[in-house]
Amino acid sequence: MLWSCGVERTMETSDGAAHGGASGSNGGVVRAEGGGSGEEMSEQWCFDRMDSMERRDDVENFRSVLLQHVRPGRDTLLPRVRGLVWMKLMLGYNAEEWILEREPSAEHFQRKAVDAEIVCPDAEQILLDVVRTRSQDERFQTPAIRSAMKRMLALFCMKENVHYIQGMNEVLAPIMLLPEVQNRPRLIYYTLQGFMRRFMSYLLLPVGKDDDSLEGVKVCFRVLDLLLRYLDPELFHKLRSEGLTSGVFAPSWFVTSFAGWLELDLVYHLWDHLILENEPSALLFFGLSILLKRKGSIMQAPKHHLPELLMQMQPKDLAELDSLWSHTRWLRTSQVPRSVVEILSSALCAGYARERVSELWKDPIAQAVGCLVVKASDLAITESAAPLTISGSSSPPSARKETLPEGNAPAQVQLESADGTSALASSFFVLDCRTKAEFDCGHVARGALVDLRSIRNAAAERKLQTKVKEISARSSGLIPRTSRPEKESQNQDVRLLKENRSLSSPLSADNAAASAASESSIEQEFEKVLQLIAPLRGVSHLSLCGTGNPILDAVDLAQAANNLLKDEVPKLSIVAGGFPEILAYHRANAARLPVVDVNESLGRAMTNKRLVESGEQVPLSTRIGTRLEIFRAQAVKDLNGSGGSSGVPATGAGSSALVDQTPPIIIDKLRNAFMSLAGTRISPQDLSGDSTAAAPAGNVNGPTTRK
Amino acid sequence: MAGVSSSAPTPLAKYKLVFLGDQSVGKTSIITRFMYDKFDNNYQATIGIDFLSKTMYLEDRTVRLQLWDTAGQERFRSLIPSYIRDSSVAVVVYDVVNRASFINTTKWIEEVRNERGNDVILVLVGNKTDQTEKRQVSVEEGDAKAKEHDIMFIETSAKAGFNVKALFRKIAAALPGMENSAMARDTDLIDVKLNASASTNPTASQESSCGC
Repeated sequence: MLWSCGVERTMETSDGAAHGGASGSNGGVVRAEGGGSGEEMSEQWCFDRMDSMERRDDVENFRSVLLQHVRPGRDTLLPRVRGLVWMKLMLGYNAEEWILEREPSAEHFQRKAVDAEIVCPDAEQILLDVVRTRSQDERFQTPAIRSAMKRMLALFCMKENVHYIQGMNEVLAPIMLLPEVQNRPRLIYYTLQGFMRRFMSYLLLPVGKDDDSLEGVKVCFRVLDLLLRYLDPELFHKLRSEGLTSGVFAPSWFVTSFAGWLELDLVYHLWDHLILENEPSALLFFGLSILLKRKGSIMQAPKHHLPELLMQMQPKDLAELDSLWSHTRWLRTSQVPRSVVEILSSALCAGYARERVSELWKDPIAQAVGCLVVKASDLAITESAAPLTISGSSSPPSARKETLPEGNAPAQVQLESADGTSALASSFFVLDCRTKAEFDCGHVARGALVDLRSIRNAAAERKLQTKVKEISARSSGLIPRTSRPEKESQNQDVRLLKENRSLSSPLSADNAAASAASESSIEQEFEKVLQLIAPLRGVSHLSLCGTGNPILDAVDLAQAANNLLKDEVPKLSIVAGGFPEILAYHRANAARLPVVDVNESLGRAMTNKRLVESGEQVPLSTRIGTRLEIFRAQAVKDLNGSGGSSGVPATGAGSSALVDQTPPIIIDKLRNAFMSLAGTRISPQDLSGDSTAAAPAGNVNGPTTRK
Repeated sequence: MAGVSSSAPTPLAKYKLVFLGDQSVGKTSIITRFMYDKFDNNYQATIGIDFLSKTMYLEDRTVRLQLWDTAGQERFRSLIPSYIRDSSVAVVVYDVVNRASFINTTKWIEEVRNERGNDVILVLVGNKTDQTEKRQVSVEEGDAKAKEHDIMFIETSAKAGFNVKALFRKIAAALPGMENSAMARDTDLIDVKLNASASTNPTASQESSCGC
């Protein structure tokens, strides 16, 4: 009943006739695996095992046995069984039946292929490329295999409704010669389809009017650049300074899944790993691995030689490829945030979803500074923090038990790594870029406050200067009153960052001295930040946490990110949505992401206060709510004497005198009075000023969570 | 950069040459002929881009040419502008037996002008002259088009090795800082191919001059 029994072979002979003798020279090599468990991995064992598959689990069990038998420097799969194994692993235990169901008749399939060749608009291009596919390999030079490839590519493009892209011929080539699959067009077709859908969806964009069929490939370039910068900013800068970004050196990597870049035996070996591990985005990391492993020669290469060098970074043999592959696995499992890997796998490689992929950079600040965005879930403590063991020199940096220098860290943070190095290597550390007042109303346990006062002051100062200029210009009639400079200034910070200028530079000449002073204090501040992160640099993932409000974060967090990136700090990211997102995740998974000193409503009020102070348009209800919240907190603090750890700043002498004699209940009444005064119906959420989070009112009696 | 300093020992000048044109017009073939003096009927299709570099020792200086070989397929067009960036020279190639590829050179030339303005040396190259009987584009037409766009023109046959060195000689002579140099005639750039002995195609020897 199965293909591997002779019955099906005869059935396929009519197809085979169309192909002629393209039989591979690598077929028929019987390999007796020597040593240890090699015995059970004979070809016969594999065939038997595949013949007896009846359920989905059987495939997964088979996969795990095969994975256990992977030995560095040796064939991952025995060449003779490769074709069937690929099919089973990609299409399922009943791959053959599944295919037969879709294409019951070989003749009919053949006719469809011939027709496709006639109607395919890319047929001419396909012909040009098929003729020059692996022209050094005579197996691809026979008329039979050429016409088969031509037909197959035309059919593929028509059936999948995709444009033919130069390089698809290279993807098909290895499949054409698979033992057990070759000469059977239907198997070839569905193996190709299975492979492309599982690992290369970014290439399969449906044909449209003005579409760019390389859009998905360009996303791959962007991702590769982003991840390279994340893991090794120094290397990234070196390449970029020579105009060498992924779009230049990586097209054939992604358009052909490395098939156009490697010798055939290495392609098989690489794809064996890929299909066996079944991680759709793995080849992106393989590209990354190639660059990182060749860093030494890239950094040393004379400028003029660099482009050529990038074209010649292929592994020389199976062993070298294997070492790259284990490095690839290490990168994927412990060096890149999980949410990123997940998006790449499900929205770029195995299925293409433009919107979801763009989550990786749609954050305006991350986009401006060119930094990775992580989710709150990435910060969580993972059950198995230890990455897979790896061979070769790719092991994570040596074990370190670090204590952060005192400096700004409010509580001394100790990075306890339960199993030493690995936990530390894959750990996240949060650099909180909010104000101390906000920080004191809740922050991640594994994090530290980064003091950015000088940056904020300089930004405020600059804003003031612009205002003054505006007012004087307006009074002299230079700018009509109707213009809206306010809105302009909102994006100004981000734009300035894009232009890579220092935030304090646009100050006028009169303020040169003040500007210089603020610049030096910014520098000192940044020096402190560098000291703070020094022990973690290159070891931990460092994630910047802001308020989640882009207007505020553009001032301090963005500038900090920019400075850190300029200093080539590796593994730097921004937490998407800032602290509110962290808190939301914490509420659902308290144990996995400990957050301490939580006073949500007050924290939000502190953020809103900052928003008001920065001159942004804030709804009246929010302003009143903010005022009240801070007022109430102050009251509570005063009433409790020393109680409450929230560092609420004094709200002014008058108000605290009033609060002295006011119990909290009065404050609540006062709030209601204010609300009716404002003439609006205000819900508690409105009051706390954040419409996105509908959390219960914060506990006013100090921290809810304590470590 | 285009200084006229002839006295000071000039540092190694680096020039980026980008090769453009429709698929299968012979961009890779021209480069391979120039680099290794060999020809193959079927070079792997260039996916995205490929690089090669060659140092040329001229009488008064050494220049390094960095050759950027690009993909011809329409679908890769959106990647091309980034490849043209920073190029000193753009070589737009068409196939004399393929009229469409000739017509499309207008688009390629525009692409270069958009990216580099007049800050670039542009050369129009009609390749595959060895296929005389199938020719669809005459020398005159090619020449007229080049004049229309005010760029250089030459016909080549990478297969026969015809005029490929002449092409690079023209380019080298036009490079910034080369105006006063007599290098073109007296250096290793001399087209040794003029004796057609090594050439595979007999028709090549008949068209021995580059018409410039």
